Amino acid sequence: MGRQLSKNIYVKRKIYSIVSLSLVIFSSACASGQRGESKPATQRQQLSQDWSRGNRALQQGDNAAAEKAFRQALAIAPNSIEILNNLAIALARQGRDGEAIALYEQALRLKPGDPITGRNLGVAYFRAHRYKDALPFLESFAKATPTFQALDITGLDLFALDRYPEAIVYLERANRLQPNDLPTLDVLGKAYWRAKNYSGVTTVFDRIMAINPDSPEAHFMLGLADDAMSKEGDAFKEFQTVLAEDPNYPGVHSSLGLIDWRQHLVPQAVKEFEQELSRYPNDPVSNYMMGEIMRQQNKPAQAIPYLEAAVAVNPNYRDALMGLGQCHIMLDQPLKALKPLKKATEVDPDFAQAHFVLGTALSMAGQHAEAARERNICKKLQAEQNAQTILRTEHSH
Amino acid sequence: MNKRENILLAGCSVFLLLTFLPTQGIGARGRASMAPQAQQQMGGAGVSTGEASAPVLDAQKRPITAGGYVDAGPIVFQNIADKAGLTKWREQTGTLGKKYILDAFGAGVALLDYDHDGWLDIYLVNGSTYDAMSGKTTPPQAALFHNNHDGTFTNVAEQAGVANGRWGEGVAVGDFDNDGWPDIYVTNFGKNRLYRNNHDGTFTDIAEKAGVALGNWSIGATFGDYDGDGRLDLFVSGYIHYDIAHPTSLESCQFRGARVMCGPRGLPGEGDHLFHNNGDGTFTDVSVKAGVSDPNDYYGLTSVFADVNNDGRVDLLVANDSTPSYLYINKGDGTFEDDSYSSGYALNESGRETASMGIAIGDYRNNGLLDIYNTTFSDDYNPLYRNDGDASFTDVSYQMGIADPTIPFVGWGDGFVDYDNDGWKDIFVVNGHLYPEVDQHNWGTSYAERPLLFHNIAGKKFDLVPAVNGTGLAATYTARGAAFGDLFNDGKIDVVINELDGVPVLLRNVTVNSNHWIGFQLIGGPKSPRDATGAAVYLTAGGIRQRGDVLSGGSFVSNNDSRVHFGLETSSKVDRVEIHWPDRTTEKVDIPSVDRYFTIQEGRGIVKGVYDPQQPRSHALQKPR
Repeated sequence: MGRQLSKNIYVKRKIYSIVSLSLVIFSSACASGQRGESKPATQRQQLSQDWSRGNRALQQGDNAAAEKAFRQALAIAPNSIEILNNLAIALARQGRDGEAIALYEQALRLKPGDPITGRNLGVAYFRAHRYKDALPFLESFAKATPTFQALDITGLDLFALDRYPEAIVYLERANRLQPNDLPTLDVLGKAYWRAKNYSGVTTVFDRIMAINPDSPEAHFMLGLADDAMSKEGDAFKEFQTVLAEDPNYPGVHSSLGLIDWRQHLVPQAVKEFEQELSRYPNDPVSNYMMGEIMRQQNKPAQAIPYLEAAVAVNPNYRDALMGLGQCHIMLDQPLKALKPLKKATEVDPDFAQAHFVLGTALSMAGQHAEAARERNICKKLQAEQNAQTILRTEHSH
Repeated sequence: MNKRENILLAGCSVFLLLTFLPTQGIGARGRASMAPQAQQQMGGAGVSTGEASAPVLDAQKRPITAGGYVDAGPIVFQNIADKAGLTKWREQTGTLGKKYILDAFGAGVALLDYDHDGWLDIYLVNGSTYDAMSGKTTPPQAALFHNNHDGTFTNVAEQAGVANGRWGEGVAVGDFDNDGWPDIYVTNFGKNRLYRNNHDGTFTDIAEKAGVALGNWSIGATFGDYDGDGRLDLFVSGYIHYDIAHPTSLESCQFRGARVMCGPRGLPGEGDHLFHNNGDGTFTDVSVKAGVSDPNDYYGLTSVFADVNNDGRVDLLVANDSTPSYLYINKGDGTFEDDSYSSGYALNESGRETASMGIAIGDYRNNGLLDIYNTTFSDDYNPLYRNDGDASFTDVSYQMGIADPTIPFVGWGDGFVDYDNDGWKDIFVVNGHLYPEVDQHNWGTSYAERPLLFHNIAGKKFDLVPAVNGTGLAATYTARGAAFGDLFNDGKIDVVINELDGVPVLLRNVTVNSNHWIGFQLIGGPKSPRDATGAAVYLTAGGIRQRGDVLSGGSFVSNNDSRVHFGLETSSKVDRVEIHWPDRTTEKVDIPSVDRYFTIQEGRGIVKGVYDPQQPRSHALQKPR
């Protein structure tokens, strides 16, 4: 979860600040989108009116009206990459990322290599947490247009893919362009941390403190540090300070929820996770924790939507995947359990417990030989892990 | 140190914490579910593999382990130990402060009719003390309470020659010499005892001569004919290879931050032993050859032979403390296959090992397959393993509603018991914490704990039976061993608990209903063990087909009534009885009536027996073979 927690806290924050700026809206060239099609004068006139109306609506933030207008235009000019792009933007702004991606992909098929479509598609993939798909488009974007936004989002994408050294390069470049952008510094610090470059962590923290030692970002990081050192009281105060400065600071309610949960205050923890989800419905930490709490309370049907939401944000969230499988097992749906459990073992082949639970699902599904195989993998892994632990313990003694 | 220094120093640990957080899940189950087990326990104390759970308190702020009582509800058990004369004896084990782990494991209890008078007697294993071990004081002794047929019992252990006098642990009953009389095997810290029944109310210890004495810390024993030669073999699990002269220091181990005794983690495990019965009063240790020697040195506790894959051969289960439990499948060639993991029995629902203590075996779904219920340490739930056939098990504790209520308790003896004779096997668990120190903290648990009874709702779920004030369920015990059986021949299953450092508890089943019942004493034929250990009875009545097995050992290092008991609810007749004998033959028997015990001899059907109603009791009814 650590990776998910910090990744999503910080990445999410960046997503909200970047996405609207990164999408490129076509404001003209509708005619060139005709792709050689010859339209009657009345149709051309209608197309032009729809196009203009759509763009106006888009600029005014009336995305539903924009969608309507662009769809009418698209009916006249179905192969216009401009209309496809702008319709996709209208849809993306309504949270319909899947439909938007399909339109960008359609546009890219019509005009392979189109930089604007590629850039928009990269951002859309990123928004949809398809980081691997997003990367080539974002790298091209950053190479062609090395703006703060391009460098920042590419760095974030690499961070999300756990490619920290490469992320650091992009984020440092972004930071040079906007040295006071605290969210970027947050992610950069985490990237150094994950890359075990502790001197890098120090320099980033210095930069944050130099910008604003009382910033929410600084307090949030201090809260995490206190929490890590089991100073729950101090961590609680830091997180409360963050809340006082920014009630919508991503991740602060989930962090408070985790503190409550560790102190066995489950109802309070639930309240915090719900607070987080009311602001950020896709927050994987809160979704995972809510799912787990529901599962623990023998409410697997209620747990599943939460866990699915966590997995939707990060398909490689191994613990959420296992929880999802366990819920299906509890509901006597072993076949439905197989997919997430297999995925969990693919994401982390050393995840012994997931192998065991997968064995349970396979056994329930009547696949006893496969079940035995998975459970024996668990046995082997646990034996290895125990041996390593013993060695570590003996060494420490 | 200022905050800035904090964050820099915290560095990696913050990351690690966050990384591991989800793997530790949530709630007692989840939190415990994926914590790095060995790391958590190594060098530490206790047998819990789960993380600390939030205290569960009742309305009066009492821990739920010693509270949660109600004023009204069904009255099902009453403790009549005092009236029955059992409280004249007291179990004693080690120091009261429980300084060492040897002090903490109280002892088992067996129900057997040692004198063939048709009434169950009670054998309670004793612990011992350091002064007794060093010869400074007279050793505490075991108790053999003879059933006086009038609701009272008389301790005849000394006269019977079964007082043990060693540091006793567990007990298993089996007629190893096929003479028709039950023999008793007692596990000890030190040499074990094999008490051969002399047919005259006395026993002779032949453990050394028979080659089954061992010598360090044995605990869970079970008899079973694993090789189908018609003779009962003996399995003995080992717990810790313990050096009483150099026990692990109290200073180094903690439970929730409090200093407590050390172990088992960090202490060397003791191997397990399978003794093949040579048929001449001696046994041969075949553990390694048979594949059940416990090369991992897991901390074995209760063991039991039972046929879990319905192939007519007894398999072997071993509950291991803080390590994966064993399920050995009998291959039929004198060896076993370790299917612990592949069967799903080794770990719990989340793929995590538990501190398994007791084992209950029974068919709670009435589908002909034996299910398993293990007891575990507090902060863990007791897992219920549903038998899916083909020796595959699924932990269904949460689905069956049986997980959460057990989390604050440390469970020991357990049994599948149809306490209300409704034809569905219920679950009874006795509890008691390992650490006396828990009473000094607000951890939501207590040293003495109440028992738990779960009512089986047609195999679909279990409901916790309320503990009504003034009854046996609304009292706390430092329970360890527990045995289940019909002590009063009234068709109702009673419970005897061996309390650590306490007097015995006799929970008489006082359930009031008009449900019918039936029970069978089985006598094996020439190719089966004489006491029919390993036999399975399938009974059909009222449209339900139930299964009952003759087992030795189980619960927590204890031994239940060897008779097979069935509740029949409103059925006043039995439609069909089919017996699968240990020699793998099958026999159908017509049953003429209900609400009584029948004795069935392999190949001969119903025969006269000591449990027949209003029959003259005779010690000579069963001649030695």
